[in-house]
Amino acid sequence: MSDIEQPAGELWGREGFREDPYVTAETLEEAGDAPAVILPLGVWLGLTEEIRNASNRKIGVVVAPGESVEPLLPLLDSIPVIALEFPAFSDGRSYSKAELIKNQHHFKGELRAVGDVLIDQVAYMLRTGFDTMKVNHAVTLNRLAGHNLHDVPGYYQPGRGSHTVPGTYSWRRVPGA
Amino acid sequence: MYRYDEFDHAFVSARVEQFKDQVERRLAGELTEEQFRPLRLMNGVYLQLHAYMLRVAVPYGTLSSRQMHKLAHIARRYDRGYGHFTTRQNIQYNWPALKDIPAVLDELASVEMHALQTSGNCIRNVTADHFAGAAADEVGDPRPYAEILRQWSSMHPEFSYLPRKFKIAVTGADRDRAAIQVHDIGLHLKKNESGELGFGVYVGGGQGRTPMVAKKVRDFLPVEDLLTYTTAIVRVYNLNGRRDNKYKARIKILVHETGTEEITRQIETEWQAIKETDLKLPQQDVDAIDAYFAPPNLVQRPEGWSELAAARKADPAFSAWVDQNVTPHKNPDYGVVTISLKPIGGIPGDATDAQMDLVADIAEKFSYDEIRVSHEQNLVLPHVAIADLRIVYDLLLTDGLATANAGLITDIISCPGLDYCALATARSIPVAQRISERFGNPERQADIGELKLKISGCINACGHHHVGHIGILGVEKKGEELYQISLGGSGDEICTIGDITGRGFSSEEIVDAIETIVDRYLEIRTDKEETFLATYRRVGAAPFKDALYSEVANAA
Amino acid sequence: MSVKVLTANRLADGEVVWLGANGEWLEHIDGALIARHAEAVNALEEAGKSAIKSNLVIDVNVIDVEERGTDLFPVRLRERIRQLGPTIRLDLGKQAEKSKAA
Repeated sequence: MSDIEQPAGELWGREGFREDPYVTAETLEEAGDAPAVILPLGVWLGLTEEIRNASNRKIGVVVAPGESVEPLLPLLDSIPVIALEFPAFSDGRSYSKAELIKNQHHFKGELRAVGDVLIDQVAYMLRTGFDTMKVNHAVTLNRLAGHNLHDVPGYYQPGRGSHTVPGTYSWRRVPGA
Repeated sequence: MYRYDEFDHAFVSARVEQFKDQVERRLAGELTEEQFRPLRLMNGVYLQLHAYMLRVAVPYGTLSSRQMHKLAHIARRYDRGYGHFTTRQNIQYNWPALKDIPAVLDELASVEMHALQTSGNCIRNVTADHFAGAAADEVGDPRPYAEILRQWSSMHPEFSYLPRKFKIAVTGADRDRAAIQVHDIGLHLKKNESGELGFGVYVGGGQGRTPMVAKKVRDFLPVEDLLTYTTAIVRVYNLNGRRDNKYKARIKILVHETGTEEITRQIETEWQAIKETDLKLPQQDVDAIDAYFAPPNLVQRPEGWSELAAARKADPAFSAWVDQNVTPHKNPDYGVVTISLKPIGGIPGDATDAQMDLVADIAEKFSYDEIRVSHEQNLVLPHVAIADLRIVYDLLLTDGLATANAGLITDIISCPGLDYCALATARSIPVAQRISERFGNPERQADIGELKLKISGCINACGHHHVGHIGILGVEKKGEELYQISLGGSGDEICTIGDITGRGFSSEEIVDAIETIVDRYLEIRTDKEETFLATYRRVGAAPFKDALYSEVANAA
Repeated sequence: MSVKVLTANRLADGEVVWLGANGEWLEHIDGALIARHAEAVNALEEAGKSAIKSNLVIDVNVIDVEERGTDLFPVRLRERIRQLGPTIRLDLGKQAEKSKAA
């Protein structure tokens, strides 16, 4: 679409847009010699430990909403990026997966949201643990470019990127590290 | 009651600003309807048949006079002079323009109210016993816990795009007036052997297309674990609930398909992982919220009882109202008054702006500034001195608010049905009106005794027909409205789903059919003490089916 | 025999409207564009799609109506209620405006 200020291929994070170093491929062969690749969950799980941990390329994994992240949990240290798909903005399973991966299992790599993301969902994603997003929604891209996250001044739940407020209830947080 | 602090004010006004922006983007064509729909729903804005509808949250049904005055003002200024109180303890306005809604939300925010999460696939307004904090039989006030849940579920980043809507209800007495077993999560506040407060936890109840009574997953959950355990339940649901079929997406289906034992295991496993996290409630926080709900300092009014006796003698209509609409209070000098929004032949749950103002004024003077909305679509004055009952009654009488029918057959729950609702398949209000007129005679209904009649205009069951002692479901068949009857449902602590009697009845036949059922009950009850429900549980459906289908067949 | 018209709710205020023969969205069913055969129905559906895109109306539907003399009478009760207003509040909806005008 012509009204997108940012090229759709770019990756957004708290610091703004940047180039996505990863290519997405169905198989490792298809990725050719790309130094960073994201593979479907089933393919990724089928790789040998040696290939996964190879030092010359980064191999990340993309997980569809209907797929469980359970098999990844013991292997988190060997994954540079996990991309959780949002084929439709209304499918919220990946929020809980983000919670499990980042907060319960302390994933250190990049957690990425991919797909149909409304601007009003970006703040939720950051709070549940997403680091980056690759969005296909034109209005969202425009708003992100304008640094308008539609956030609120306070949260009623703990979450990433927020801290406690002295003198108020334990479940409340305000934005900021 | 709970009062907003700066944090809450800042949050709600930010949300109002966001919605203003969203409405502007929509009106400017920057958002498509498909994109805007979930956003407007998160703010309680639906599209119905004639116009938009705005559903305003009344958290656990508690209102102050100031808030009720504001609801009246909104009805006058932005709507058509009335509002509809719902089975979710909320209020709905049926005619607001989309472009005015941000202004309405501003008005609501000025009295610490909003329309957030009254729709959409998120955790909805948390409901509670409408007699909370007042009822004589209460173990503890459920509202502090409902408030904690309300806060925690507000714009929850993980739980705003669930498979389907999610409803939590809390009751603080063994007598369940909040229908907790037909909610996604039902919490029964109680004390253990050592006198500590905690919850019996029920999961997977609901009505709709596939009615289910909730399963108990925990007998006693300590208060400190309220949010961690709830998080575990909702997380298991969010990850595993069905998303392939809207009609199978509620947690009740997940519980049913997974099995109670297995779902309990999954919840417990998740809970063990998060039990000791930041969401564990410190006692001081519970105490701080609890303090907002401290009972008002009730003045001793022992003179009330003799005055009441004299007033009752002088006016049988007043006496009947006291019998029917006044419930025992914790303090013997006081009573809990139910204001019936079910005038004979009226529209269940509707109140005009003037009626709302009147109730607000009465509450300010005679009920320590408190009003409740009940899931039975009535209003409640929780703290009225026995000595003031007469004057309160007289004031209510001035605007048609003193109908003495709480819990009787004309105290009908009815959804808006096809007269307003875009989902409805048949009208429900006109049926409620005709039944109300048929049984409107005060002696007749008093003789029939407790009988909860509930009507829904479609399978979604907003009128709670599945748990009506008599339930009516309106459907469309071959272009005509057809009404199916179910018997023996109950939404209280002995929760049951009603049994369908058989073929449905036309709009013309339905009122006669109800009368046939009631007449049969009067014939076969052991005595006046045996309620309709008790009789049904004793004899089963057969005598009623016989009466229903043989008589109607004969008449036809 | 029933024919078809196109109905919707106006975006800004939710008002029930019908697509008029003049191409405008009308607040009353009188003067609605009538489709009497399949091609005309397709045209109505196309008009509905473009109206949604131009963000004038929402919830666009082709409905069945009967021609009774000069009046258009929606076949389904739902549509008759949309046309007139709640059957339990004759003082509200389009029926009220009509009776006021009369």
